[in-house]
Amino acid sequence: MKQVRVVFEPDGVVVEGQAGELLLDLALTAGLPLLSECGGQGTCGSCRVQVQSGRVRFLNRSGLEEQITTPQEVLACQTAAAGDLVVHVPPETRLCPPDERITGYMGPEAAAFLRPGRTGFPLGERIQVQLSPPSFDDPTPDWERLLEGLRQARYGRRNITANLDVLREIPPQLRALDFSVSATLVDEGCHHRLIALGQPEQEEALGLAVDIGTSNVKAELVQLRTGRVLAGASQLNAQVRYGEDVISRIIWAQEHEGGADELQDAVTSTVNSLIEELLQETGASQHQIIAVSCAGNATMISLRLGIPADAIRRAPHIAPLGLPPVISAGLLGLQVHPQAAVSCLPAINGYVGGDITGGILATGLFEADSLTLLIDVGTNGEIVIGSKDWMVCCSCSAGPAFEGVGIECGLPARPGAIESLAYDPDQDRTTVRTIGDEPPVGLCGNGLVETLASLLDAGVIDRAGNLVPDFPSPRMREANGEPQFVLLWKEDTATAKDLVLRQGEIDNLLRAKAAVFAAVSTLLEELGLDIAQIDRLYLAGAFGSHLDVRTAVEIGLLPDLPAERVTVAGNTALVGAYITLLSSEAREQVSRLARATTYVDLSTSSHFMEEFVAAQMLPHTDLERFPSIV
Amino acid sequence: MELELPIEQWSDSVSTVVLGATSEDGGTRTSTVTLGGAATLPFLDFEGEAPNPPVLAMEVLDTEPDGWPEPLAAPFGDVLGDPAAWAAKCVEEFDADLICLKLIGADPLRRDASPDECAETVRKVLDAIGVPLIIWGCGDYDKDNEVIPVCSQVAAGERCLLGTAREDNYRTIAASALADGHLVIGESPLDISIQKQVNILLTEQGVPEDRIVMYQVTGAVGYGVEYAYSILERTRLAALTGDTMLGMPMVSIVGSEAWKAKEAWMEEPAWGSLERRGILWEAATAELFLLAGTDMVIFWHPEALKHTRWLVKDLS
Repeated sequence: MKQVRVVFEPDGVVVEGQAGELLLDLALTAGLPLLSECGGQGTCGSCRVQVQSGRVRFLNRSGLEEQITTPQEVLACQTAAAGDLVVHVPPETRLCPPDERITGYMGPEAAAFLRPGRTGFPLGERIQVQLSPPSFDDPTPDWERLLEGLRQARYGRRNITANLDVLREIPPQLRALDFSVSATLVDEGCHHRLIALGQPEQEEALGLAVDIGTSNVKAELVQLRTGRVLAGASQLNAQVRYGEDVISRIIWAQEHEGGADELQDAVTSTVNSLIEELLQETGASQHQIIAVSCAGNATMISLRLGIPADAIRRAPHIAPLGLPPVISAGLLGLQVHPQAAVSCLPAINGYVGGDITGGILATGLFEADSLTLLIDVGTNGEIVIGSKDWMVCCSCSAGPAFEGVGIECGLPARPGAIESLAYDPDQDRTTVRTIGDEPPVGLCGNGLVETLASLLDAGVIDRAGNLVPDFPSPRMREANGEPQFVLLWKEDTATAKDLVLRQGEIDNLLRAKAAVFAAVSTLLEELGLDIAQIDRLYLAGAFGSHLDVRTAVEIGLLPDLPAERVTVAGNTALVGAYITLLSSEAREQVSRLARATTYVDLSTSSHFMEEFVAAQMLPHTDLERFPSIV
Repeated sequence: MELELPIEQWSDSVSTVVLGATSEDGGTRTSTVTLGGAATLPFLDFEGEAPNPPVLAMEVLDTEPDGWPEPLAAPFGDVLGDPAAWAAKCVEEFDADLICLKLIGADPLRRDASPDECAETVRKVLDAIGVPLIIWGCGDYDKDNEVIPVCSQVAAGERCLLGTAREDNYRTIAASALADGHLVIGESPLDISIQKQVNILLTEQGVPEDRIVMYQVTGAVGYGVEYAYSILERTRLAALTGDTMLGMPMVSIVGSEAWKAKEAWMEEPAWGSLERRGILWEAATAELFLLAGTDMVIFWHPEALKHTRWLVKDLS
């Protein structure tokens, strides 16, 4: 079979395939799933793409091959590659519009779960059933009649159950609607639960993918039928005021009466406020949301569910539960359909949660042929090393510095956040680039990385991160006995306040990057591996995809690997939540891989502390580990 | 059958550091002291050269010590209140290779002695001895940053060893050393990585490698000294295997560390002679650090130094 090479624009993703493969499938392989509302029947027109050049074969034009010379719009499900191609994917055809501030990288292995025929069942769905009315010849009771209809339409021999309040509605509803109804079901793993019955052609059923981070909560509203992402939003986790990290929150909950409830309420209010924002943006109603898929670390999930998580903070750090059963949203106070299914990604351990299993799923690490490293930098740093044959993980406490928490000038990636910063010591001038080109408000993770690198390069800080007191610029000053450096004068900021970085904040950033680097080195050491053996590195978490990998290596956040082996993957936890929202096969896969991943506890490793101290330099105390920088 | 000794081959050696400047080099010292240079682990002279034997220094305080136990104070007679006389006695009577002057009186919590007063003491001690001098601050960052530059200036050209530079407070002392032709002690809290970081910071500020001496805050025998031993030994191994940023000679303090231990001074008949205990505690600590790879030991008690001198001779 002839090999073909397809370039998908505007991302510039290149994928190799075989002649005869559909553009729809090739796009999936490229990690760019397309809308396909009719499931590849060629009837809905939602998978429209533009072939810019190359040779294709049209299924719906009696299989003719055609050389494309001027750009031509085609249906991806009805067009096969016949030679090398350049294809443009318009934003409205994409299943997940690339809003990198919220979501992240989806590998082809993960996108494959969205392929028609491989999804299995979404977490919730609404289907139309046409039943034959009862008669003397067919006296089947109403519930069994409905079950039979559902099984024939979609569920085969799978178990279906229903709550009493829904059972009560069945007889009147069936008759009122003349035995033609729309049924809303959620997948609870061992069975499907009928949660509502209504008129046919009811409004769209929606789902919510949520990443409950220790510092930031992010959510996407998804059309369950198509997988289309309608909107996304992000907010600071309201629990932050009870402590910056999970341990201090667990302690707070223990030490205050009703503390656990208060923490639960805090995160509920954050998620509800995100839901409100998403509903407002899309004009949908809260009853439309029938499924919620959550990624989060074990503490966040436990606090979210109101389950005591005290054991996490005491050795041997046990999570209350790895994979929570599907729970009804009404019990959790979420402002969605009261019987919506809430499903969580499984945790591996008290300190490696569903955000990471989501990341393993999203990046495709679990099917990688060669050694792959996943680094997720959040308030906790988690590391996974492995391939399709084995996976090992660990966690470290990095602190929320790169998420902009605890740094006065720090903020999550949003318009006005500085993504790129360069200080020129000769001109004593700072140039910045912000998200959305808006006036600068503060620095996000990317901006903090570049700031450290730029200040080091300019001699504002030394390699230990100390501000150099006699640096010849009025920007170097002291406040409350602490040295600080003015990155931007107040005339140049949106806040009308000087944008400063203080010594203590630089120390926090150094500790954060040192913890991450030390965790990677220690895990590699425990496995007897060398960093050079790592074929691919995914950096997930607090960094946007514009992060300059070389700069991250220069400050020693990342080990010294060639930039082409590194993918800045963004919020893979949310991608994991998204895929599992849509596919029962993905939900099964992620719970398998959670069980198959071995946890290494760094607190029992004598090596970690030493690595941590050695990594508290820019880029590192041992420059031999950074051959490309020396 | 003849037994063949396994010989380890090392790729590098400890750097050589010279303390003190004679008139030829623009100073007024009558002798100099050379530290380091070893291309082998301590006392394994069959494996490689160790051109300079360990250096034994004595500590002098700028403030009369109070509460020194009798066995420790006795040998010094009436000089403990006079740093210059104390220093001279250490060199002339007790055979110290050099003197370490500790400016503890500058500590704001003690006498809060002024920089000029400290500098005057430095001047007097330099005048009283011909051997090189170590000028060691009081340990209060801000005060040391005021005191050391002034002391450094009065000793300009004498190639003294200034202490101590730490990871987050090294610039002032390094600048003084560079300006006045001295050397710097880089201090670390018993951590090999932090030691290396201090050395990197000092060299990046322009202090050459042959003007840096490393100091790990250790403790004494009986107080977790095994960890100190392993840190010193690993540092020496790093130097021998080519890590130039850990390749400088090391200095260890045993006097003030050993006499902190209650075993050194507490009346307890079951523990044996109080006269000898402190001395042995100090000497045993010194022996341990020398075996681990330190290049210079700073003593309080002359007898402890004497024991150690004998030991070094015996092992060399």
